[in-house]
Amino acid sequence: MIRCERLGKRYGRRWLFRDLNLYVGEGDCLLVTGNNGSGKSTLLKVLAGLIPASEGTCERGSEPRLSLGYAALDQPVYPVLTVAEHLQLAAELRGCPPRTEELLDEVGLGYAADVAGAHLSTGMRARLKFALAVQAEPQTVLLDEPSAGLDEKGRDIVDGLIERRSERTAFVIATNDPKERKYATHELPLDS
Amino acid sequence: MSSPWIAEISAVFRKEVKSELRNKSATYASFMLNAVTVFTLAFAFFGRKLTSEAATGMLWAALLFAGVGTLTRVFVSEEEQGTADLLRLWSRPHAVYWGKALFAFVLMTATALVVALLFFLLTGIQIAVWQLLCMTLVGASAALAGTVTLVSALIARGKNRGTLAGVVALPLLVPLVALGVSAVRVAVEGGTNSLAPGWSSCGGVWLYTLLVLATAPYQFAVIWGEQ
Repeated sequence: MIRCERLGKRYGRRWLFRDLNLYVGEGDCLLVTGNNGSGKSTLLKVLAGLIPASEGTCERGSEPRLSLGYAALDQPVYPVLTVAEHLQLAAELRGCPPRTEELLDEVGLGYAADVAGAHLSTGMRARLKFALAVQAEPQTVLLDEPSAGLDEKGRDIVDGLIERRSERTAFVIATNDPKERKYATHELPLDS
Repeated sequence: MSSPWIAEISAVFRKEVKSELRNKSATYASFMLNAVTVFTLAFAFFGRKLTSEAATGMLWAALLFAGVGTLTRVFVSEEEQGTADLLRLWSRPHAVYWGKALFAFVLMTATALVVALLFFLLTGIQIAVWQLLCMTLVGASAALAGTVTLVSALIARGKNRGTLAGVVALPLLVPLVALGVSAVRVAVEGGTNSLAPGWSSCGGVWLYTLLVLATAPYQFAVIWGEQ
């Protein structure tokens, strides 16, 4: 669950968004759309707590590391850690079971468990980030451009991942891909 | 401290060790830089008798150079790779600070012992009270690790990080240097005068360390959350 009141973010004098009130609960899927530079990724980063809002409040639950999952196209992974080591590290830090085999099977990365982050392709990195985002079965999952850089098989994996959790999880998806409208229960268009 | 905290801190520490072992170039570069500093100081005074005051001053200059140069990497490398956000998403700030500071302590203690041994070996200075020297160096390493880890987090997103690290860290380290120089001087000179001032300076180093480690995690949590 995420609840925001009068949320705003600006860089210099330019407001990317302002006075944003939103609630995303169990079973909701909020699609954030807009042109390049409209602030979609920034909004997701603010919701994830990675950057501070310029004004307003945002509730993410008492333990965001367990209740919130986040995967973004531009998020790097550790170049020297393997795929399995990423899941192990995240689980130890979050205090949840690593579920390495199960998650790697779900995102189709079982064959690459021992591959280092530096040697992953864009698509493989995206799948690893999906696995990391849903590892603790969080209440809310934030996905920034989930289909970008993925082939058809990768898109099917994202579809499956969202569909299997659509009833018990809240999703916020930032995208420009019209195909992703199929997930949406609500839409938030951001103007640049 | 409860076991979930220990597990989290240990996970951050092990991640740092793995990264350091697999990315050896940074370690080698840092080791070479520290070795060159000590060799330069030793050559500058080759064949001359160094006073204990000058020797301790030079040793501390080398230790500070090594500490600030080596330890600022702990967060800077994380920001350069863009992986700091992963830690923000998965971990609590205090666990990140303690895991990183523990790694910095191990790295700094090893660096301080190697730098000090090399320095005394090359300059031919005899140590009168080894226990005092070792206690001071370990305490100072903990204080340097605690302080520079915090400074590293503070400057990680800034420009000219190398310059910034020195500018921000050195004023914070002045009390430590004053106490450390006094303790190491007594460790070198030994029993010609009483050892009490040396041990009380060493106690001061440890007190400074406790103060740093008691306050830095809270300051870090603010810095980490606001970036």
